[in-house]
Amino acid sequence: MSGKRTISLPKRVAFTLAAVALAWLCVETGMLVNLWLRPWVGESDHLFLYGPHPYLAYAPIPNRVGRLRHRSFNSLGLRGREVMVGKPADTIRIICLGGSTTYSDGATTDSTTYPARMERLLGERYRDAPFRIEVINAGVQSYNSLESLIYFQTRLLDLSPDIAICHHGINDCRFMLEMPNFQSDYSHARRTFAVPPPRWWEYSPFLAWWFARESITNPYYPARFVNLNVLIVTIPSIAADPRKGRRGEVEPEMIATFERNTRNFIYVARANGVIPVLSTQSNLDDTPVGGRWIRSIERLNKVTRDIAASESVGMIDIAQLMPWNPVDYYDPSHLRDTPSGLGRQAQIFAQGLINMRAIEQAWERRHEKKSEARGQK
Amino acid sequence: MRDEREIRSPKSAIRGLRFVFFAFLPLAIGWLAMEGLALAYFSFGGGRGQPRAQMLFVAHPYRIFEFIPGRTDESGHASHSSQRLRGRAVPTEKPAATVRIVCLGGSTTYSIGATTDTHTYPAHLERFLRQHYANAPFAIEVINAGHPTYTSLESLILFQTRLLDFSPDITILHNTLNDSWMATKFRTYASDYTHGRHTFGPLGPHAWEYSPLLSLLFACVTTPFNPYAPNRSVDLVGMIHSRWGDVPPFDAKARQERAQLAAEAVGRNALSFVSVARGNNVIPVLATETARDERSFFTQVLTSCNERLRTIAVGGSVVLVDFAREMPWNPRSFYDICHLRDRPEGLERKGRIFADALIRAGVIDQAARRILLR
Repeated sequence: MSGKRTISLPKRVAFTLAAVALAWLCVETGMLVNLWLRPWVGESDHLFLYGPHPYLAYAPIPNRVGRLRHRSFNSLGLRGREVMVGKPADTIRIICLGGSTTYSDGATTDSTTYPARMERLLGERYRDAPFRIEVINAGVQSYNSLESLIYFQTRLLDLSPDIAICHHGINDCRFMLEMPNFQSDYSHARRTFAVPPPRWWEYSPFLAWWFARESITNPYYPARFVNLNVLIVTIPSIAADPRKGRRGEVEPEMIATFERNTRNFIYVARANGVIPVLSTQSNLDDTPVGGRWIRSIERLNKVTRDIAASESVGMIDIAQLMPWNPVDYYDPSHLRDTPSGLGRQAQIFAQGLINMRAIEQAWERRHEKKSEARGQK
Repeated sequence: MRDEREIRSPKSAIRGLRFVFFAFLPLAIGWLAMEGLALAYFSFGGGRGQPRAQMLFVAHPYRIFEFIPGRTDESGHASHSSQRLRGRAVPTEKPAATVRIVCLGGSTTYSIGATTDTHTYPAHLERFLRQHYANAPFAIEVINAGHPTYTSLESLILFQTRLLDFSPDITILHNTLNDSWMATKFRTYASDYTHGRHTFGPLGPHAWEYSPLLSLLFACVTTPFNPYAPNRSVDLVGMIHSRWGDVPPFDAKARQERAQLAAEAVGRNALSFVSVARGNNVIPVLATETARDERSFFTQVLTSCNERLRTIAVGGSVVLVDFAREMPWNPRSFYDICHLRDRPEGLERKGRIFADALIRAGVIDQAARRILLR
């Protein structure tokens, strides 16, 4: 009865474990309280701006403003200012379809993208005309020719465009060159937008903070910078590191797929009274490291030129008019937000439309339609 | 040494810790035992069996879902070829001197009532055409590209992305029913059908569904992908739709507006289909759809959509199979609001109507001339 008590080994182990478990619970609770008091604000722009879409794999979320740079989507999920679905009677509406080069990844504001700049240039050129010009930026980062075609026929036709510019090649080329087991519907490479589920231990706020902060799967401390392609391709490791991808040239069946998509864009546009315009794409000349990319892009650009000639479609050959150079481009395919970068691209496109008299043609068509409607009445 | 192992601590604290420890331990053991029992239950044939109907489909980035190749449904009635289409496999490259017809549509083309792959309407169509052109210098091949629930939009995307690879000569678009469902079963409406459709999912079970006990206790809310008790009440429709169900009655004006919107969407998709087909040297054919006339909102929308197809066919000089007029709903032929029975006056008659219409319009001869000239 000395007051001292002997504790057996099993009990000691049990008490130690219980104490550790309690301490662990306290830490976890503390982390949760900390998260509640000071929420993590590191969510990536891409996780914030894009969501899954049943027919396009992914699509911009309407009314979202990017956190890292000044980029915003309007209520229709289009980059830039608000657009009315019903087209005003005195407006020529031009839609620019494409990937990040149309979206204008390098633009620091929505008003310095190539479509926004082109709108200003065309507005000046036709300031005395009886119509106003509206240019819509329908470029979505990473979209390829097939996605733009589906986007065009499912959503953009509702905006009653008069002219649609299709500016593709590079993103198709990525699917052809890098991703194995090519499928003509691009299902070998594209998957529906999805953030990978957290690993089981990442549900612990403490472990998630300690071991996987800024991991893409982290439910509490998600990554700040996420490569969008990691979320939308079948083999994310290739999107993260293209060196892990396929090694080989572009095959004829791949070229045929690009050709089919481009031609289908023309057919759908014409059937809906829209004037189609095609455009080539510029890319860094990688000849010193094998030249696989530039050869492939050139083959796709040649397809675009051939289709334009055979289908009598207007074409803007930006690959020839504005080849890659380190002053205007900040990476292999994206232009800087400078007058000689995106400004020059807009100038080339505006001049291309003026030269092919696409705007005048669209206005004449409008009059023809009005006359037809009057005649029917 | 013994004294060193002795710990002096307040009795009450130890008692508290003991309580916590010995309260949780039996709970954990009990839980594990119940998990074991539940697992044994499922292992010895409990639950709802395999395979799962939902496992016939897999997510697709541009058309929500497609068939998993080489799978047969539970009833054994329908099988999917290596090309992810119902029926036998056909070579992607078209054999010489063959007129290839592709039938696009939803469950009415897939022929959900057919008890074998050879009793679908495209299979009957193939048989009738082969009989008619038995002595012709060309063969006829009909591909069933119908997918249950597909609307004109999904059929158009399927045509553009996959079926053009088969180099078809004639393509039949037989879609207005599912488009009409999309217009009548939701409060809101978007012409790209995103008001109701979402990506195929869920693609896997929830974390808690890996517990046999929880799967047993909450069997009514499991996903179709539960490893022990897959939810069979979630069918394909439940996998691709959100907020599906009856909506409050629309007034006459709202009904009219919705019917017009649906017709415009169908018309836009049909027009795109016709232009893409013609651009790729395929003869387009449009076909209306039949449903039981219930004088309902659905009937009103379906009638508008069918009417739009007729207008496009006349305006664009496109061959039309007016199935809605040629085979109105009757209880002997149809087993529900729109699906035909597997009997002579059901799917077989449909095959005959389509065959007669194609022969009458001369499209087979037209396609054959093109092939033989090539």
